[in-house]
Formats: sequence, C-alpha cells, structure tokens
Amino acid sequence: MNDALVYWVVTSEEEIHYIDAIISAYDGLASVRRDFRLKDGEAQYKIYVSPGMEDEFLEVMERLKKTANIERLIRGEPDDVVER
Amino acid sequence: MTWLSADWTASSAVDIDYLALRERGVRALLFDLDRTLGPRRARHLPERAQHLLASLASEGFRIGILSNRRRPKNDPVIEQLAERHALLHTAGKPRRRGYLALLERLDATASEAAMIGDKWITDILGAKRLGMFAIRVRRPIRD
Repeated sequence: MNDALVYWVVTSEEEIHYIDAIISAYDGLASVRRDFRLKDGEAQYKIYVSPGMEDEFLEVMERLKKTANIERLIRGEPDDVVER
Repeated sequence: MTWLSADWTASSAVDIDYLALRERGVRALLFDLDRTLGPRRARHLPERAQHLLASLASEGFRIGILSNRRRPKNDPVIEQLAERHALLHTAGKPRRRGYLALLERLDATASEAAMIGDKWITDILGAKRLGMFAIRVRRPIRD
C-alpha cells in the first residue's frame, strides 16, 4: 500500500482555513494540518496528499494560487515532522 | 421542484469549494447560522467557523449572516458575528425581504451571491426563488 505524499505550503494562518475548506471539498484528495513548522522565518503547513491524487492536488493548488496568498509549495518526505 | 433543489451539497460549510464559487462569479456569501455555522442555538461560535469566516473575508468575499433566530437579549453569537459581518436575524426566510435587505448591505446582486444553509424549506427555497446559487450543508461546523 502506498503512503500519502507530503507537501508543505507556505502561507498565512488566515489563508490556511480557506485552503483547507477547498481541499476538503474534494473527498479523499488531501488532508490539511492546522499546525505548522517555522522554517527560515516562514510558516509551513503540512498537507497529506492521498496516493494517486498528486496531479489533481497540484491542479487545485495552481487554481488556488490565482486568488490565495500561497508563496510556495514544497514537496516533503513522509517522515517530515511538524514542529510547533 | 427546482426551487427545492440545492445547486451543491456539502458535508459542512468547511467542505465547500469556495474557489469554484469565485470562478463562477460569486462575490457574496450568505450563511445560515443554526446548524450551519454551529450547532442549533449554540451560545458560542465554533472556532473553525470563526476562522473560516475571517479567511473568506480576507479573500475578498463579502460575508453576510441570514438567520431566522430571534434575537434574545445578550445573545453572544449574534453579537460576536454582528461585530465583524453584516448580519440579519429574525430574517423570515424563505421570504425574499431578508435576502434582499442583506444583499443590499453587501452591495451585491442575487446572481453574485450564494446561500449556504441546512434547511430546504427556508435556506434553499428562499435563495432559489431569487435566483441565487444555493448550497445545502448536511451538518454544522463543530469545534
């Protein structure tokens, strides 16, 4: 069984709730964590992407970038740890 | 009957593709209160609902709350929401008057707005009569 992929999104606390609502609208696409890690002065929120859903996830994020303040999207590793 | 058909159905108000709404030209979001933004007659608004509304407002959506809840004295939820958003209680849904009054406050037309609520006979029917986009939610936001 494949593991979920991990992505980190660099955005603000306000934006993450908007992003979460949109991602949640797509059943089984991905799961947004509300806690974050601080790296290089940036808040990075963890998103677990369901196996086989990466292309669809990236497509939604591209659409989101047109309106939401998403600075960067970083592909992570499954064992990346959320630090608080 | 199409007036009782929601355009979309979502698990809750935190499971809606607001981006797709924006792409359809929706600029104003009208939320029902009880059983949509929180449990019925809740005395506080769930934190997730507060965050969602703030987040949507920061994205440029005009936010309105349209509730049939009568305003008892010292209703903390009504007071809290009214501080930040356009709010109309005792709205008389599904009558048109409340929708139109709130749309006017939001400076939006019915075709630029979406109604989000749990009840067919009030939220959805009232919205569809005005030609608004209507989204029915199955459960309230909870903490």
